[in-house]
Amino acid sequence: MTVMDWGVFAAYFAAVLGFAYWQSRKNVGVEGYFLANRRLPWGAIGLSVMATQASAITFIGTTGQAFDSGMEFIQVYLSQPLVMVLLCVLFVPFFYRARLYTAYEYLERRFDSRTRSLTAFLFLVSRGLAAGIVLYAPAIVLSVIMGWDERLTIVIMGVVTILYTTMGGITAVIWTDVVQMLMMFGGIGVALVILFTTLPSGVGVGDVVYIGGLQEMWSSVDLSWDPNNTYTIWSGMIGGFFLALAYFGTDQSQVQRYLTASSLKQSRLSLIFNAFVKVPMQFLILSIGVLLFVFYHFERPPLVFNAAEVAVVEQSARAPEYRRLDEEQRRVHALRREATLGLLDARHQGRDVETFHDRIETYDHELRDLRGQAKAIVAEVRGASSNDVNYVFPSYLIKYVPAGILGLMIAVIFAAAMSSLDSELTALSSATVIDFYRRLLHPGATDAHYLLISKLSTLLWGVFACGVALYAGQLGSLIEAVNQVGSLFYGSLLGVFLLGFMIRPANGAGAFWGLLAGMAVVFVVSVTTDISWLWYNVVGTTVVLAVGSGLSWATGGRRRDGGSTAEA
Amino acid sequence: MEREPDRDDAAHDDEAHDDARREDAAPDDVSHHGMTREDEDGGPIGIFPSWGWVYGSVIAYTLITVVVLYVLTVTLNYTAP
Repeated sequence: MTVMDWGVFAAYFAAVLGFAYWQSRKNVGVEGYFLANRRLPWGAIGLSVMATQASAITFIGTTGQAFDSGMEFIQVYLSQPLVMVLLCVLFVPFFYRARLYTAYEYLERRFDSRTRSLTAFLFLVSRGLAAGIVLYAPAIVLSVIMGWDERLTIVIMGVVTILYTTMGGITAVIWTDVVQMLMMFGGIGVALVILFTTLPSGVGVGDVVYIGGLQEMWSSVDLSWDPNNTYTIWSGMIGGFFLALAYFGTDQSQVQRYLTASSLKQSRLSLIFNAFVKVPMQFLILSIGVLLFVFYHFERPPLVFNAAEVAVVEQSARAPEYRRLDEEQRRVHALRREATLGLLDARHQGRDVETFHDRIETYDHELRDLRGQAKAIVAEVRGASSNDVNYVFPSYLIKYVPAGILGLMIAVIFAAAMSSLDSELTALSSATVIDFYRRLLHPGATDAHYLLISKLSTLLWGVFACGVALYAGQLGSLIEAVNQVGSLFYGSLLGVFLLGFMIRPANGAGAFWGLLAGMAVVFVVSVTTDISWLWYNVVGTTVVLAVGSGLSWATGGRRRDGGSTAEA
Repeated sequence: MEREPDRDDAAHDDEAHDDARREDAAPDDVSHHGMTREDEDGGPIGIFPSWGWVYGSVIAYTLITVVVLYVLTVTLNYTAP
C-alpha cells in the first residue's frame, strides 16, 4: 500500500470514531445505550440492518463464490423481501408494542423464564463465538494478501470497534453502520468501474455479458427440485425464507435494530427498505465475481488464490505435481485468451463465432479441471479442503487496483467486518444485562448502575471476541462445530417465537420441550441425511410448532389465573 | 436461580400477546405505550395508499425479480446446445 492508501485508511478510522462520539452524546440511560431512546429514523435503521448482515466475508467470499460458480448464490436471498413483509405484519408489532429490550424478553412474558433463559443463552454462546469469527475471517485473508500481521489486524479492527461501541452504544453503532454501509455501496460501485477499466480496450458491457454466458455464469435460477442442493429456487424460496425469518425475527443483533425506531411505522419502513434494496445489492456483489471471471480470460489468474496454501504445497512432496499443473494452466490460459480475443473480433465483425465458441468452452473445462486438481492437492497436503474463494477478490485488488483506491477498498472490507461486529457486541451486551444480570443477578439497581454494567459488558464481549479471533487458528474444528450448532437451533428458535405469536393455547412446557425436540430432530436429520442445511430451518420450525402445540394441548394449554384451562 | 412460571407470568402472557390488538383500540391520539396515530395501520405510507399496498408491492417485486432472473438465466446462456 502507498502513503495515499494509508491516508485513506487512517481517515476512515478517524471519521468512524469522531462520528460515533458525536452521535452518542444524545443517549440517555440504559434505554439510550441499548435502544437509542427509541428515536431513530427508518433510513438509518434500514442501512444498519443491512450492514449487520453483510460481513466482510459476505463481501469478499460472495464475489469469490460467483467467480467459481456464477450467480446461483442469489437464490438464497430471493425470499428476503417476503420475509420483511411477514416481519412487518407479525413480528415487529409484538416486539415494538411490548416495549422490549431483547427478543427473548418476549418469551418470558408469553411462556416462562426457562424458555427465555435457554434462548438467550443459545444466542450468547453462538453469537459470542461468531463475533470472533467476524474478526478472524477477514484478518486471515488480509494477512495472506497484504502480508500484514494477522494478530495486529485483529487487534486494530477489534480495538476501534470496541472503543466506539462501548462509548456510544447502539446510537454510535447504527450511525457508524450507516457510514460503513454507504462505503460498501461506494466500494461495490468502484469495484465494478475498476473491473471494466482493467479489461482490454474494445471489450464492452455486451462482450462481458457474452463471455460470462459462455459458461452459464449468469444462470441465477435453477428450477430443479433437489433438497440436497442449496442453490435451487425451492431451497432458496423455502429454506432461505425460514433462515432469513429466523435471523431477522429472532436474532437479537437484528431485533435490537428495529426496536430503536421512533415509531412502529419507522420500524416497518426500515425493513421495507431492506426488502427492496437487499437483492439488487447482492446481485451487484455477485456481478463483481462474474466480472472477475471474465477479467481472468485476459489476465492469467493464480491456479489457487490462497498464497499461504500454495506455500504449504510448495514445501511438500506434491510440489512437482503442483508445478506441472501450474505450467499446464499457463499454456491453456494463453490458448483461451487467444480464442476469446478471436471470438470478440469475429463477433464485432459479424463473422462466424462457432469455432471460437467451441474452443473456449473446451479450454474453460480444462482450466476448471486443472484448478480442481490443484485444490485437491492442497486439500491432501493440508488435510483440509481449500477455501480460496475468499481470496479471489482481494488478490485482484492488490495486483490491479491503483493507489488510493486500494486503501478505499481495504477500508470497505474493514467497514464490512466492523459493522457486523459492533452490532453483535451491543446485542450480546443487551442480552447479558437485560436477560441475565438485571433479571437474575442484580435486580432493582439504579439506571446508572445498569448503564455502567452495560458498558462493561460490551467491553468484555469485545475482548472475548478478540480473544476468540486471536486463537481461532488453533480452535480449528471447534469453530466449525460452533457454526454447525448454530444452524441446528436457528429454525427451532423461530418455531418457539411462531408458537408464541400464532398458537394462542401454547404454554411454557410446550415451548421449552418443543424447542429441545426441534433441536434434537434437526441434529438427527443433519447426521443421517444429505439435505441442504437451508432445510434444517424448515425442519426445526415445523417440529417445534408440532411438538409445542401437541404438548401444550396435552398439559392443559395456556394457564390463566393459576388454573389449567386452555384459552378459548 | 430462575423463577418458575406463576400467575404474574400468566398476566404477562396476556399482555404480550394482546398488546397489538389493544393498540388498535386506543381511543386517544397517544396510546398507553406513548405511540401516536402514526403507528396505526390506516393512512398513506409515502406514495402508497396503505400498508396493504406496500406489502403487495413487495410481493409483486419479489415475483418480478424471480421472473427477470429466470429470463436472464435463459437468454444469457450462450453454451453450445
